[in-house]
Amino acid sequence: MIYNEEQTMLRDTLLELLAERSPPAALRAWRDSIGCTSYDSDLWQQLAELGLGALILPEAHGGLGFGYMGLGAAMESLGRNLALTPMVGSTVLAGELIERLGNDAQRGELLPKIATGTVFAVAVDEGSHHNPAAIGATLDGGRLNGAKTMVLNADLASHWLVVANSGEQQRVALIDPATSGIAITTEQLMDGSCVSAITFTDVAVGDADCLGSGCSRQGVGQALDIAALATAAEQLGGSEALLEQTVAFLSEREQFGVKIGTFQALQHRCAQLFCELELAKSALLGALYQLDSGSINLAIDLASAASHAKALANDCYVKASNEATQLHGGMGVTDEMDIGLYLKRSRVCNQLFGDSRYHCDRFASLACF
Amino acid sequence: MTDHNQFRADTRAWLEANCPPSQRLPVLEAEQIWAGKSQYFHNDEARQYFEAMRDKGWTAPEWPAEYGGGGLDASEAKILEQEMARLNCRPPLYDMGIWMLGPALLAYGSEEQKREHIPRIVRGEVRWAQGYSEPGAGSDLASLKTKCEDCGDHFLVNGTKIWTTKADHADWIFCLVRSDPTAAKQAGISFLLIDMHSDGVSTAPIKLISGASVFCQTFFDNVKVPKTQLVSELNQGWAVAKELLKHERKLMASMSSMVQDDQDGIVELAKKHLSVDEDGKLADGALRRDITRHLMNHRAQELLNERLYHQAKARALDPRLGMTIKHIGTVELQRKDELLLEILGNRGLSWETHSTTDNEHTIVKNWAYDKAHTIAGGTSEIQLNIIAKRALGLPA
Repeated sequence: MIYNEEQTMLRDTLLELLAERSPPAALRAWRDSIGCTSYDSDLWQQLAELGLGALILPEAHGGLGFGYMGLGAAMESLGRNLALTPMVGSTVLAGELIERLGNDAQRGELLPKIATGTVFAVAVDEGSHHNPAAIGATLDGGRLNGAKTMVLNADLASHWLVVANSGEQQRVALIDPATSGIAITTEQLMDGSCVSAITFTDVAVGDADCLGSGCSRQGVGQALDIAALATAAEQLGGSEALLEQTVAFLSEREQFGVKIGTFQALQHRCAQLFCELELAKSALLGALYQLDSGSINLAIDLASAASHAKALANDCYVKASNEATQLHGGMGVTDEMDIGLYLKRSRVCNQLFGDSRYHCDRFASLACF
Repeated sequence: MTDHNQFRADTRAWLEANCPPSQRLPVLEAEQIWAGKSQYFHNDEARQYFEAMRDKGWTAPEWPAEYGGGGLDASEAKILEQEMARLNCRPPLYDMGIWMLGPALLAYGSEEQKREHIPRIVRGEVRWAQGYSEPGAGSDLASLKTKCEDCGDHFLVNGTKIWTTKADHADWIFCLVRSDPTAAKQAGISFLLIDMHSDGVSTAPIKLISGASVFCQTFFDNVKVPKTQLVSELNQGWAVAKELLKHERKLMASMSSMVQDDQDGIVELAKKHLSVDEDGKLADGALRRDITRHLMNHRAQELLNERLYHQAKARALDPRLGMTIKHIGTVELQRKDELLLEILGNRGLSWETHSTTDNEHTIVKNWAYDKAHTIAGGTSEIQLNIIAKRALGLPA
């Protein structure tokens, strides 16, 4: 449950690169730029050259074998710097779907693309909350119909994967965004990132265009769980950055003739946050470590571990961002400080792959109560 | 690795053979095996189990074998712990000497002191009490006043200690005493080992809100202490005390996780006392969420301990993590107690056993008793001070 030398080096390299190329302030500029897209293609190109697309893929398909702990290290660095990338939506979610559901030909063709940074988008969510058990999109007679929301990096992706029901089964259709019958609107969210809503009307999908054969429900579930874990790592990276910035501010700021960080009431709030952060991090590292060591039962334990980690990470990031805003006083509510950027990012991360309500409910159901 | 697999197999087989059935049940307070002259076994199996563990040195698995300890390295000790947990083996011995004094003596004691005291602690022959707090020195421990005068061939001790756990049954007590009243607070403190049977030592139990009396006030009235019982140098006791406090906090956290092991219990109890829908889910959504929160925190706490273990093994210990476990563990324990009480409803109000089952009675008594956990061994507020200053580096 600790990063090995390679994973530590990966994290440090990324932190160094991002500090220069994409610090938190870059998100503000990106947000305010005209015609903004879901991520910065130049930055992603640079990160892909570093191997970010290939971290968790099997080596046979051009993967680097950094493992899920390596993925955690990378996401932590991205989260600290508020870097918008197609890492979760494409590399992790699409990569895992293809890896888990694709047949040999599909894996052989598509995984090397993921490895080199080609961007895919995955459409799962419908409605106001993440709930993969209630998919309404249908794939019948070679026609895809339905409406998807919160699709990450669909505006720039060259390939889309769409989850739909086909009779009793669930399938994942591989779609070319240029196919007719598709309407897409891309909207900027409060944090500056962009997501798309896509409507599919009688879009032609050949049977060969679906990942693998048979029902995809289990593979989709596992891929979503791993995407949730990657998001949790991003959230905890952000939380850690917030705690550090807050401690630094309290150690500088003077009122009543003393550093306000000497006040016990403020010290305890930071200490309490540190405890919650380390608990959430332990839940996340436990899950990633188990995935790497193969000691996790994918059918049962992964779901529970992912819900555990995501629920704690959701709450930790929300608390860290609220506390940081309050403890920065008046400065905390200005757009001049980075705190507000984290505050908004935390709320977006909350909704990605399930909020705490969803994950607590699932955790309890899995434990049979 | 293979060696460890072998060790695990051997340990498992040995425990299977030597831990009798009654010693694999959740331990009731009255059945705990405490050290000392008044050692009591609730049945023959308890005695056999204790003696077998004692003879292997597994009452103190990681202490050096030359002093009677188990001589295990950290990985082996972890394996033993895991295997004991797997079979639900009870702790073979309860004693402040095992938990706290031993590690401090191994670090700071003279060779003579180690030879005299460590083997007797391992073998459970002496029950130790801790003499730290005083009526006027709680969180501000360094303001302690129990006087220790140098009388040439011995020390003369006068004063009183409070919250001395089970001191009325203890044989010896390790104490912090004021040996130099003129020095700055921490600088004038010494660490003494005192035989409780010495003239001038007396104890009085303190009745707690749980009805139990596990703590005493201990009085020292012109007690003569041989100079050989001074640990480390005169006026250097604070360093020893700090070493020992580290172990106490670890213990408090692990004790809270020890009693928390029965996590299915809370769900079962809730299903028994409150309504369940057709899917077998608790109908009360708020309670269901509270229980989920508790189970998640408890699981995260276990994983935090795992993480510490992995860090220690890789010699990459993050010292900040260890500072959190006492606070986290004890607060979560109290949260669980409150939840259990809420689940019991009015059945959680009975104070005596006649109208409730043993299990319900234990829940109620634990709820009251566990209030002490966020106070003893450094209050939660002191823990948060430590985290703020030492882990986060906030200004003093």
